[in-house]
Amino acid sequence: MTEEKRLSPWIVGLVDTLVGARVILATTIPHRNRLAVILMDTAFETACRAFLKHKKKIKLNDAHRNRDTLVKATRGNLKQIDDGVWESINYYYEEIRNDLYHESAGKTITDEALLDYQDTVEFVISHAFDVSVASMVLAELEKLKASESSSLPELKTITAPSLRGITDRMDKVIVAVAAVQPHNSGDLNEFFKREGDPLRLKPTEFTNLLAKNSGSKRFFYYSKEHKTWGLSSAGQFKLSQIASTEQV
Amino acid sequence: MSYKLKEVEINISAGTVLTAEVDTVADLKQLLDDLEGLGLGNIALHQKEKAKDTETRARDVDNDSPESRIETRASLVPGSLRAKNVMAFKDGVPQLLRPSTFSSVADATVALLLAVETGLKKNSLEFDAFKALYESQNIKSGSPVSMLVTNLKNAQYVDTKLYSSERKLRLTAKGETKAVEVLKSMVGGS
Repeated sequence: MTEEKRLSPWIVGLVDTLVGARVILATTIPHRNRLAVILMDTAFETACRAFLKHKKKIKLNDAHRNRDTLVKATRGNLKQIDDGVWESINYYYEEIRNDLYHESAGKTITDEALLDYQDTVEFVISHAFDVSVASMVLAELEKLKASESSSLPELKTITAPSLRGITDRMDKVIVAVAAVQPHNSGDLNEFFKREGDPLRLKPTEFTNLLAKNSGSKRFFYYSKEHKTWGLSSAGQFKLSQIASTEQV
Repeated sequence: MSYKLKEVEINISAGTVLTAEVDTVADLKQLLDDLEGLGLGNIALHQKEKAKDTETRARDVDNDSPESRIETRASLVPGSLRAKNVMAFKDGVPQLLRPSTFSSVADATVALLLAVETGLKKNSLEFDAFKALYESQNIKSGSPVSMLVTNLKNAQYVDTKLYSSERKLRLTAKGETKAVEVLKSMVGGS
């Protein structure tokens, strides 16, 4: 992740670890699932320590080096998370991660199980730090794709479709925001220009359009930390619908 | 006689209105006969039929809105989903208007899936797209979406094979029936 972001360093580290896991997953390395699950578990355990230390201001001691103690303390401070989630993480740790790490290099985990585990880990981290870590990971992946697309495997994200064939103005803006996470109208206009689309937004139009449609149930959100616009969950869903329409 | 005729307006063609002074019903009949004789007699009727047709078409278009498709599928009174604050669509995105009133997260989820499949006419939905949609609803849940999907799979509400092979969500017949039941109870119980 780039340094201009003023995210807490422990969250930056967690996001980077999860990005690494997703990049590995997108490769053709035969044991990619095994490697990814180890990285995800690392992210989870690191998150537990960071949560207790930085969010809960608990002084960690030698006892917290023990995984069970660490998870128990974290669980006790995140009571809004269902017991089943902790049991699931425990299951993955004891029955899968440890086997994969220590016992059998030949053992692997199915794609479906791994993606469920990824979702579970990201859910706990999001709740612990009150952020949407999955969105942060996806945003980083999009940036990676844009900057190093030639050296990266095809990453699984909700891919922004091309503007060709899209006529609706709002749909175009959604695609553009997903692609560039703009600071201002100039960033969007540059994207439209690059894509050969005639749409241009004046600064006031840009602000009105995005601000008017921001919020959890609308398409955009403004990251005060990054000073950029991105897609909210509803925006991500809308993007997927635009992409699927384009495929048809 | 309880009425007095003064003049009559007849639409001859779009934008052309004939205004005639008539004193009696006999005059009116004569006028209509004369117009018919000139091949213009059915114009007014046609205009009326055309207007009716446009109205019907507009109603049909409305019947083809995402909400009405769901209402038809669930045999709900037209307009009831919105009237009862259950569900609405904004710019092609389904929204549960009061997600906390669903009796369980699973109920809210199957209702959302029905909204996508029937309302948006999608055969299935990618997990990531569904997760984004789910998270935009502000549903309070202590479990991640993947665990919720596992519960739906175990209850046979979503197609297990499709989810395993393509990580896509699609309601089974049982899931669709459940979603319909949920919406009926939400509309009926509001």
